[in-house]
Amino acid sequence: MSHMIKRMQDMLAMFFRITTGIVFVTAVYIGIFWGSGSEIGVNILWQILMVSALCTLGSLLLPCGAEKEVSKRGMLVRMILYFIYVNAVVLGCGLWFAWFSPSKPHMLAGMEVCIIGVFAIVTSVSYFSAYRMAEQMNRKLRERKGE
Amino acid sequence: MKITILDTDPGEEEELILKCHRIDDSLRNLLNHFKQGDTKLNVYRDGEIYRIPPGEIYYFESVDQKVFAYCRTQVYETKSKLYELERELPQHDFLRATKSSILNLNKIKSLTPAFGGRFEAVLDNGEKVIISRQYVGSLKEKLGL
Repeated sequence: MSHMIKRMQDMLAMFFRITTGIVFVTAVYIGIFWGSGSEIGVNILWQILMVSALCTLGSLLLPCGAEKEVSKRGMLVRMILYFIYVNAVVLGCGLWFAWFSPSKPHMLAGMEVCIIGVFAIVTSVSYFSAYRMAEQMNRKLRERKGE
Repeated sequence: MKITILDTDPGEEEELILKCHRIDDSLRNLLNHFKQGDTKLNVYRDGEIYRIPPGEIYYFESVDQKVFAYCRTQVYETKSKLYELERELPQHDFLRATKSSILNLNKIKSLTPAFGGRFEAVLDNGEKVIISRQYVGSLKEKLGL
């Protein structure tokens, strides 16, 4: 049960990170490819939430908490698979929602840059979260040693 | 702290009673010391038996069905299995770090995040040991986080 709760917490945190990242790159993307004066409909908010939810679902590929240990190589393979999954979701949904025109390579390249950007942001945030945790543990270790 | 020592009646079992507001780390260490007594581990090297206190061991590692105790510079073999050591060693000081290793918390110099939710522990002697994602929760608990 606690394992399920941990997984849900991790996925929720991932969902918020991805959504924040997508909102940020969407603002940049719209500004560049559709013009800063362009108007957008309410629908795009639901579309962003849907893409975030689908991308979060893919994080089931990554191990969490007390789940079976994965080797360094296994983890790398899972990360690559997750990246491919995210590409498929974002490009597929982007095409469906007409976020870009497939006949315009520069828009497709823009989408790819956005995907890599959000992926990098989410991965960095996860690393810094682990780094902060390590700092807290180091503090406790120092206290324990009476330093 | 007030210390009271009472005589026991002949045949009465010796008993240690601790009256305190709360058990902090120093008291827990003291209790562990009493629970463990002067326990020393039998370890082997070059056909000789050595008796060393658990506190001197940095970590235990199981390699090819054998369990080794790594001290600051020396490596000894122990006849105990990891799960037996896990039970025998002071719970407050030792932590299962991976399926094949047990780590002495008091010998960790620092921790850094590693790939895949793991942490890397740099020990006081400069050695680096990985703590699996599975045991990070237990580490946090032992550190009171």
